[in-house]
Amino acid sequence: MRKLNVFNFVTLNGFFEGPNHDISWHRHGGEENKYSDDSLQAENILLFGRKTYEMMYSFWPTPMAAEMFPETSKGMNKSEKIVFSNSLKKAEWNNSKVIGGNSVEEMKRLKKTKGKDMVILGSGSIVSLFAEAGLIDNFEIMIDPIVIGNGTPIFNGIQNKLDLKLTDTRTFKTGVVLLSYKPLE
Amino acid sequence: MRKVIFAINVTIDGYADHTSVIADDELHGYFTGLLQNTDVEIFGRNTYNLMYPYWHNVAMNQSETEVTNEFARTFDSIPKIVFSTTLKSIEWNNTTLLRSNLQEEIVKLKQQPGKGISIGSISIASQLTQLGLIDEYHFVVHPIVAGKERRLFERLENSSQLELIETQKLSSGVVILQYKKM
Repeated sequence: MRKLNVFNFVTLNGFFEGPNHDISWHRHGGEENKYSDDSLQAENILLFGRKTYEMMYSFWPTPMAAEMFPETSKGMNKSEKIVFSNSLKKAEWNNSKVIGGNSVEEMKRLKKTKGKDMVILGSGSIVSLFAEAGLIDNFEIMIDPIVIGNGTPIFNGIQNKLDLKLTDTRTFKTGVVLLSYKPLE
Repeated sequence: MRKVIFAINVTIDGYADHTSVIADDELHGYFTGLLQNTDVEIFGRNTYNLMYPYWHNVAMNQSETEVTNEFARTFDSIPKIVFSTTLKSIEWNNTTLLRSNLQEEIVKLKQQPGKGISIGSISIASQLTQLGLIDEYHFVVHPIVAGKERRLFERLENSSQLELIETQKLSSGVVILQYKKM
């Protein structure tokens, strides 16, 4: 069965975005970008909720993105992408499609089909939904060395506690720490 | 000048909830070491009410594992300051009750000679972070997503950038991330 993974940046107190989707606190250096680019090279399918999709789509296809992050933008634009949304009818971004309906059921079905692994970027609501349904195989959490007072917590709205198993840690020069987990069996 | 240190158990999603953490010997050993490098612990009424009945009892009866008992003895004997406007009196040994002037007290303590000053309460840590008075943060990250409980640094007015100084992994999958104020 193919894997469903989560890759996200959070503050030390668990916010993945500040008020109004603010992510200006991300402290990405060359090393983190290389890590993201290497992950994109693996050609996993990228998954988003509508809000993250719209944010990503408004940035990655632009000339500015191509100039600032040439490798990442190439990878982002080329990768196969799926948006989970009931309000978005069509995804205009290159190589994207929309899946509507019951996201959990659709994901269960998707995981049983053959194909590439999938990775959710950002997208707090579907991360919570799939985590609660026990559908996530790996969690890669990049912890930025910052605390902010307000925003949207990662795993927002989860009703039941999840116990995970630490599988790896990595420290970047910027002070960002990558913690990798899988569900505790 | 003495260092102000805030060490806190936290879940991956940023909740500071003592009930959903892995409280094993290794964790208690870590906190014992931390307390041994400090000579005053500061908290508020909630933390006092939570800590005193349990840890004083363990310190007296030595009812846990040797490592946990040692933590209890260290915690029990360290001088403590409780900030509260509502507590009538304090029963814990070595403990002073103060009504107000957190900022002044901390600034005064920092200037006195001695070991570190440990902060043991989330609300006090938030106020001191806002004032820029915490020198070192130890986030003890448990491999748990809690989904609810009390968020660390909720309603902090300004964001606070930190500098990573050390990481440490415990066998339970707990990762201790140490930072200093930038």
